[in-house]
Amino acid sequence: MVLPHVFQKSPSGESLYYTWFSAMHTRVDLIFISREAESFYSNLTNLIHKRIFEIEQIANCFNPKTEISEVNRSAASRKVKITEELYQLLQCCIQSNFKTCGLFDITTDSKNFSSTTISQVALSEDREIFFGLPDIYLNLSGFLKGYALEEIHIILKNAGIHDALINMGNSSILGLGHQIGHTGWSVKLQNSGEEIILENECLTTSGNNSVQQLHIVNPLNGIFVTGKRSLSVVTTSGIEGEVLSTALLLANNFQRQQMAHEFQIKRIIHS
Amino acid sequence: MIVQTDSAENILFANFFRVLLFFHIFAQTLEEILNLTCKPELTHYIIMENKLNRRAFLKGLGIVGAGVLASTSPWLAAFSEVDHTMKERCRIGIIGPGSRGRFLLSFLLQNPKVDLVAFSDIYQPSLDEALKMAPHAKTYKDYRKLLEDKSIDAVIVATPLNTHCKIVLDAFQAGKNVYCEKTIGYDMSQCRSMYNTFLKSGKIFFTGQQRLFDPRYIKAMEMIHQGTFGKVNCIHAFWNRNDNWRREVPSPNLERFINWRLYKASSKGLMTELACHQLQVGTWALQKLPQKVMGYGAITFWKDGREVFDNINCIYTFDKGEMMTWGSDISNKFYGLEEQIMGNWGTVEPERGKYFFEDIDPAPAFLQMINEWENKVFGSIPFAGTSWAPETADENHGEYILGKRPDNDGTSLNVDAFVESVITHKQPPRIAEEGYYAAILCLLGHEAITRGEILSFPDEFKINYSTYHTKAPSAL
Ligand SMILES: NC(=O)c1ccc[n+]([C@@H]2O[C@H](COP(=O)([O-])OP(=O)(O)OC[C@H]3O[C@@H](n4cnc5c(N)ncnc54)[C@H](O)[C@@H]3O)[C@@H](O)[C@H]2O)c1
Repeated sequence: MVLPHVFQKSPSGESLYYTWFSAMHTRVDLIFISREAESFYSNLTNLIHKRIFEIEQIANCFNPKTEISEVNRSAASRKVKITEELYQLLQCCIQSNFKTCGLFDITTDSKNFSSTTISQVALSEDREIFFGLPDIYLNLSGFLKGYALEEIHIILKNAGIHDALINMGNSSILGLGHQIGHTGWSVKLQNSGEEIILENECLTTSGNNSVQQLHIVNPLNGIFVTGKRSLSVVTTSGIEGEVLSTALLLANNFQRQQMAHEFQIKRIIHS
Repeated sequence: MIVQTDSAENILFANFFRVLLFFHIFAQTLEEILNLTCKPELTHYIIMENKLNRRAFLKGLGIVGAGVLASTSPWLAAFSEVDHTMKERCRIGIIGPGSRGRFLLSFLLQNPKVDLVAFSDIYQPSLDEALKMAPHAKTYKDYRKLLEDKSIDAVIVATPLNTHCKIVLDAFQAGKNVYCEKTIGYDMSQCRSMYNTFLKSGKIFFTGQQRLFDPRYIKAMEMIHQGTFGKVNCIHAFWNRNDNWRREVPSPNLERFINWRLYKASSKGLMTELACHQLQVGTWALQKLPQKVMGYGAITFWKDGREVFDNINCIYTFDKGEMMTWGSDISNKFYGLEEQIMGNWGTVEPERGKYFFEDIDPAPAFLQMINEWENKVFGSIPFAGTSWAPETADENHGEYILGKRPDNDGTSLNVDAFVESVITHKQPPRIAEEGYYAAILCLLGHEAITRGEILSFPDEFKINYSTYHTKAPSAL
């Protein structure tokens, strides 16, 4: 399969490949700059596309056929054996809940949710999961794009691609290496117009893109973030970017300081 | 002449864009661009009273780099010396200043490099109208007298189809450079002898295929040739109208003279008058010529004594099975005029100025970044923000090929390019050949219809035109 793309080669031998496809309920844009042939990039794109599809098969809670959906359906009534990958993802999410003073929480969509719901998600060392309460619902959507960025990064490293821009739906962006003639990748925030240079870094944004939107809830008090506002964060890790962009949007001063200790935050932008 | 080096190419196309500006093609766009993006640290070009940076202008047009332009539309090289010809003059005569001739005249009169010397027409009202626009021009009833005028460098031939060949051959014979309106010849042999005479003459030969200079088409072809829409397998071109295609006739004995389009002796109807433009778009997009043609035509609605079809459909097939259809029905205008160029990833409709992707659109910001990469200019692109979800996108309304629909269809640039070429004595690559093949294709379609046969592209009408086999400008 060859996905839609634009390929260009400069007289000096550099080549640029741009491809886009839909995944994770959004559009994924990939730009690679190297000296490779078109077919090389097409194969690379296929690998990435396949990997994102695999991640979705495991962790997309909106698809009833995925592993996480099976967990959501069954883990309250029986222990469910899960794959190593899902196990690692869930562990990371639970740890992130601690590190963000409870502000990053994958259980907020559960019926009768409270800030302690997440404590009822039990992961055993032999990769089994069990819910201590009925109707717990795990939603990893706010995490997966960042995870996908890290996975794509690994594939690119193995392929010897050092200069690339990866965009998962505008909210999770990874800039690797350089745009030719530049230091890093220059990206602007749509809202504020602020320019951010990404050099092996991720830019992750959370927030409301309209006044009507209510989709980010503070797990500690159940209050939704209101108004058209967003927060962007620059990190080296895509996963941390996802966790932090949501948690920092909800955090008070004290919680923000706590997170500054726990994570390597390079920059925070409010818009 | 195409200059090979990268930087020279850039200059060449910088000049082209200067010309665009010079002739105020994009007056509105220009104003916006000037307001938005002129930065003092960048190179400025002075065009008339305005200062413009090339980078901003390229960006505003959304035109990709010079390299791609050089292979997609090499005839734009006509503008490569536009600066050095500022003080030069081109002395022009118009043969047949009827409706199209006067339209071309309106652009020539705006070009400071043109001296409009004379008109020739056998119909006094046409001369009278032309003189209203250029009162000092000489007039001749017989075009041969105009050709004898040694002060004239070039002629525009805008007479009815059946008269083109003789006039053009005489014009080359008289040592004139020629711009002949489409369709160049009444039959394929005429086209061939016109083309061969041009080759021998060493003069400039342009044809009235203005889409070759239409910014929407130029940009669309760039994108197509870069593979942005995947593999193009099918092109549906059509030109529908709902009118009788007649002109008012002051006296019945002038019917065949005024309505020459409707009669077999002077025209091949919709094929030569309309299809000629759109078939050329198809070969431009596919970068090859069709192998076979079939078609059907009839007079189904306007049974008013006309002799040419008012309803036509043709299929042109290519070596890998690709197809181009061309159709025209002049009793229904609902679908109007378009060339739907269809790749496995997307569709381009250059007439409407839009493109559409099959599934998900590419990010405009990323496409812009690619243009900038090609032009070696970089800015930061605003796209970062909260998550983009497909349901927030509207139904597929497509994207504009150029931000705004230019109100120019390429005609003025086509004429200006001719003037430049006459002044520099340099025939731009592929321009005569595009006009030649456009004519051959529509005439071949007409023949397939009238003979009721599937016709192969005749070898005897293939010209040495290697550019369709390679995209490299060095091969030109
Ligand atoms: N490129 C385009 O988009 C476009 C558009 C319209 C017309 N055209 C072409 O332009 C040409 C003219 O079309 P038009 O609509 O202007 O027709 P028209 O009838 O309005 O004008 C033709 C003129 O030629 C004159 N003429 C006829 N025989 C002559 C001769 N032997 N010597 C001198 N003058 C002579 C006529 O008197 C008339 O003034 C055609 O070839 C047509 O296909 C091109």
